[in-house]
Amino acid sequence: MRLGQFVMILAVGLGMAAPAGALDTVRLGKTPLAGQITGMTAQQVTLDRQTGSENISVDRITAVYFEGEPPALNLARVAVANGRFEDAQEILSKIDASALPNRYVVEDVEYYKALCAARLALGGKGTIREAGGQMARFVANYRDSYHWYEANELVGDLLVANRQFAAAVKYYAVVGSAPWPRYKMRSDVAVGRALLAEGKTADALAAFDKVLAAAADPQSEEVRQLAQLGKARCLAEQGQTDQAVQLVQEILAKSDPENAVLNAQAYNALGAALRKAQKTQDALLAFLHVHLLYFSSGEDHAEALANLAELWNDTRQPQRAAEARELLKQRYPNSRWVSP
Amino acid sequence: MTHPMRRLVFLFACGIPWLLAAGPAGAVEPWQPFLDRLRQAQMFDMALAYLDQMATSPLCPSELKDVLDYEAGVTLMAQSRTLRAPSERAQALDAAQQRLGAFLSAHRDHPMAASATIQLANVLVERGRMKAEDAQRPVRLPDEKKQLLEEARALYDEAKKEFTRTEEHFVEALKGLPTGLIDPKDVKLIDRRAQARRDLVQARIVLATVVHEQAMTYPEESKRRKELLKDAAARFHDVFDKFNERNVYAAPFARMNEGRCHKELGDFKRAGEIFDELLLGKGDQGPMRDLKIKTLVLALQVALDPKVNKPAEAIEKYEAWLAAAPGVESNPDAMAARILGGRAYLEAARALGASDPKRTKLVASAYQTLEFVTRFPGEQQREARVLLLDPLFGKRDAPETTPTTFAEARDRGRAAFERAQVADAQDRIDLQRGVTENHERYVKEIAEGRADAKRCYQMALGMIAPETPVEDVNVIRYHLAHLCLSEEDYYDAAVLGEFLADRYPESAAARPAALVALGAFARLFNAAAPGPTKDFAHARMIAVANAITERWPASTEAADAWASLAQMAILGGDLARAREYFEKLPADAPGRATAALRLGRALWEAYLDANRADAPGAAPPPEREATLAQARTFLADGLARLPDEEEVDLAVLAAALSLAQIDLRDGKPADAAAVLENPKFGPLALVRAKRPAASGQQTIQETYKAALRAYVATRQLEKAEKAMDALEKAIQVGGDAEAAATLTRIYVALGRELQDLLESLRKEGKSQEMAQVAEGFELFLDRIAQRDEGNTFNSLYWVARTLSGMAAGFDAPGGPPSAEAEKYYKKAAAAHQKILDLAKKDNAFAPAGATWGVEVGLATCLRRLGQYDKAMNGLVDVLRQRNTMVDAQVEAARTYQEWAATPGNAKYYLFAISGGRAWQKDGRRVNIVWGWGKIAKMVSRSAKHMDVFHEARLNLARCRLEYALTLSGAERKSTLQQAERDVTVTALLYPELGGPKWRGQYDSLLKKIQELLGKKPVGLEKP
Repeated sequence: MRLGQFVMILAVGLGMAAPAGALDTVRLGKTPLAGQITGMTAQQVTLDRQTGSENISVDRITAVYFEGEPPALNLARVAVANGRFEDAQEILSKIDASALPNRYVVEDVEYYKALCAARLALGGKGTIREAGGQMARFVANYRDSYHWYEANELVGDLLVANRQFAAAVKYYAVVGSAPWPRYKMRSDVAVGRALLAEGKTADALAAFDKVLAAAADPQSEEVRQLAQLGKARCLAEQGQTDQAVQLVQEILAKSDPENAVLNAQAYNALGAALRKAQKTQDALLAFLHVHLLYFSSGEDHAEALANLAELWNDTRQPQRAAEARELLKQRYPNSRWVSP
Repeated sequence: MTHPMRRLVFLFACGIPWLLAAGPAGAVEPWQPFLDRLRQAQMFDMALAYLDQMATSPLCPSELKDVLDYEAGVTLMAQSRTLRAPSERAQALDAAQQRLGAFLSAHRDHPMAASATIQLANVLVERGRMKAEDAQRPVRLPDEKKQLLEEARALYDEAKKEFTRTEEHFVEALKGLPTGLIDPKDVKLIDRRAQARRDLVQARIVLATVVHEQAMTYPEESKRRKELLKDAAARFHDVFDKFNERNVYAAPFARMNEGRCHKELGDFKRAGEIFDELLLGKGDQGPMRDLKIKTLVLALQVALDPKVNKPAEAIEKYEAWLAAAPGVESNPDAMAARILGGRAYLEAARALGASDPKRTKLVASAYQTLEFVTRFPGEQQREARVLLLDPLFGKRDAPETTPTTFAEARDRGRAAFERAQVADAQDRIDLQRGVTENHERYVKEIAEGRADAKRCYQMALGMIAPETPVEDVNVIRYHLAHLCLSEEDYYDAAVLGEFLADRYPESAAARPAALVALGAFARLFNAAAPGPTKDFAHARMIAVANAITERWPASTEAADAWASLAQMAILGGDLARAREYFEKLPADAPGRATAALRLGRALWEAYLDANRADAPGAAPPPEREATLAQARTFLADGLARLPDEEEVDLAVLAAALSLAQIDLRDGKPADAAAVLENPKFGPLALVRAKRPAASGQQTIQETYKAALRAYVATRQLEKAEKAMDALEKAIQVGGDAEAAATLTRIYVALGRELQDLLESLRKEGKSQEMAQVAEGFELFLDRIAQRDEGNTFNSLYWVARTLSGMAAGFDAPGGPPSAEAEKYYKKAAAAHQKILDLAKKDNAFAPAGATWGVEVGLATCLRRLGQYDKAMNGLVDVLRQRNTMVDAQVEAARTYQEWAATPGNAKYYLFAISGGRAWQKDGRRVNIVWGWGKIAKMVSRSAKHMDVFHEARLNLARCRLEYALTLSGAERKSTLQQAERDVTVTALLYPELGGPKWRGQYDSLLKKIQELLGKKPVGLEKP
């Protein structure tokens, strides 16, 4: 059996559409495009199809599957999509780099390895420095990968976690230099978050307002929501807690309840605002949403646990406070939310 | 721990839409999974708060708004199962009933109405469960257990009737619906039929569960239990059989429970087959995954049952599950499965020889499995830790390899510390249950664990790197402080504890560390002799307590600190300070009740001690009443604050008894009776209920004594009589070999207490209270004395002694008796005489030698009635038989002395001094009656007769003084000088002079003599 046929059977077994003769697949939302990838940059992927060659803008791409890629790579992608970064890391560690068919697959494997390390470090497992170094190396070595802009954003996030705000902004600026408005907005949201983490609330608010002032379109809806959440955080910091709560509730009213990351961030923002407003019970309920329902997002779960530990203490429930603290230390030992 | 079956039924009942059918999709607020998870995490308070929040929230979906009351009702029912106090459980059930009823009233036609009906019937089941669980408590006596189980079964029967009615209703509802295919466009009808089927399934499953629970109230091998279990199994099977094809979730749920019933019937083969069928069945997500884990737990229990004993099979099942389903860490059922897996490895290892290499691997697997469980707080964590003490594990942290990093040293230290803690906790539990076989092993484990922990922690502190998290270091410091305290290195413990509390107040270890420091200083204080060290320790304790209060004002640690200081002050007798510390306790501090009770008791005992030290006739200082009032306040406050605990301990009972005694003392017998009868802490209630805390003989006696006094004083004569009879019975039942003598002592003491009470009331001028107390007692005593049956020597003697005591209470010293006193002396004399008459008629009436005491008692009454000759004749009769009977000798001397005070009878002073009624004894002529001089001489070396000694020496001097006053000239002077010498020589030989009680009297007498001798009345030399 030829390798190609084998891969085709495997692809069918994995539930992927596999048109005859096509071995690479570029997925745009739910639509798979099959062909052969003949070129790749940070901005586009060139796909030779039966109908001719097509340059696909990276901002439209949901996923790419390569001919000859090891099945483990896709398993790792699935694990990553479900927030199981440790599982993905373990799967990726068993891939034999020397047996990878081409540079695209090599880049993908490297990217996902760095992504897992980054996500785990941001969630409090592993170290920020090492993960940051790994992702920065990817950025430096694989400038033509379609993951490049995301990689830059992740380096920025890791630098923020390490409190190197100025350096982070530079990486976010790279994301903002992408030719798509949505990436500009992403960059602005990221900068806003960095400013908020640095304590520059007014500047952060301005960054988020800038995003919200831009023209709305369906592709950028999620980014706008993130900007709105960021704005809510800023308003809460400034004591405008009612307005902050209202903003978050607007997002929750529209959000897909299955979007774990967005909901986790929203409930944390809601909890923070309620806490500022000294509505302890309501704040507890908000953070409990993250702890009980949306815990797959490690960093957000860590934030929720840290707040729960303090709020349980405030409401004289030392047993629950101790359990929250213990879980935080066990699951996210290096998280910035673990108190020194 | 909630019964697993109940958790399942709860999950089933309240999560029906989730389990039985696809729930509503795309809901904006994920209320159902959030609510379910809050309940699963047992955060019922938050679940109820969430429902309250949703009631007014703009995010509340309309479908939730309709079922708020239903969800609240279900939550309250689940919460009731986790509450310990019966009153709180009942409250939660009442609230659940109210909410479910409100839902049904407002939403009769709602799809959840059927569930709500079932839940209301479930309230009966819950009440039945409460009874069944109450019956299993160790404190329950067999009769109580039987009663409670019968009540539980009755409630289950009622619940079964309700559920059967509901089931019939659903069957009827289904009959009215088509059975075959329905037009797919008729969605409403399809939904109605689906709902009707769900309702029926639910009703049948819950009914089967009730039958199962009722079965478990019967003893294991009983016929009825087996019948009910078979019935339950058949019902579960019926659900599985009829609904297997249609219903994805309810059918396997029923099947699992069918298997459980077979397991409990001992049919492990059948049970195992059912569990295997389920484990291999379809579905590994969501509720089916949860069900499979529960099934796995049951399957493992079967395999590990001693009658089956197939640990290898258990391991196989466990490993298969593990391979297929990672990532279920904090699920309690998954933890339970891991515990059983660990057990399976251990049992398999135990079956192999020590040299078998497979054994090492199995032990390692067991360790890994159980160690994993210890990382997660929960009920299984403790179980895993105890299992890790198994000797098969040996000493895991062998010192062959020295830790090389902070983390390694820390982890080793922590493991050793936890091992010691777990061994300590388990040892205490075992010893409480009377299990001692592992004690030696635990003691060794504790010592080794502590030593290892200390060594590793100290190593860790030497390996701190810049990036080492400070909190990790602080936890080590706290553990070290703890270890130092355990090993009595108090200074080290205090230094470490204070350091953490002062320098890292935000650390989680800061507060407990502060308490360690406080404890260390407290022990230093206790161990030190009065001096600088003791003062230092005390000052540090105050400082630490102040620091705790300042930093964490509303914390339990602050309350504990002040409660400890108050307790220490009480033990040191510094009650003023104890009060000061007590006031620092917050009003709602958990330890406040206990501290209040301790302080109240200490104040009461201080009051009694002060009273005993008073000179006879001396009025108590006014501030003493304030002490008594404070004692009362603290005791009443402490008892009122007692949480609704399951069992009252001896300290609380003693406090309640003290409060009753104070009420009696204050002339409030009705209040005293109310305290004694209080169902929660009343000593009488507890004695009658045969509670462990009330089982001591001393406690029983004091309780009945107090009850007797309270009932008599409130004229509840029937109750008083019953208390008296119960007291006599209790002493006989207690197997006291000297029951009669014990009872006599009690009655004498009771009479004495009454006398003291009347004296106190007389001194305080409370004549009305005096009259009330006396009247009540008189009525009761008459009743006892006159009863035709039931009177014994003891009861009549008690009557006689009590009447004497009452007479003495009304009798002011140093003069003729008052009219009241005379009345009671006459009654007492008659009562004494009656006993003597009865004893003469029937030799067996009085215990051997008991009538001598009666004679002496009679003589006392006659003396006070002025019938000296008759009194003396009776005493001489006794002294002829028992010449060394001190009581009789004393009474005789008193009689002479009082006789001498009557006009023309001064000669009797000489008899009072030197004795009288000569007789021939051992060939010599001696006085039968010794007189004060010889009495003093005869008892001077007897420590228990020191009061008699001082009474004799004092009266010797008094008699000489009084006699001197009838003389004149030189004879008077020399007699007075002799009297003076009587006092001064006594003071020389016995400088303490018997304490304040007697010293004051010696002093007054000496001054009087000195004055009569024309000397300056300086009295005794200052000690």
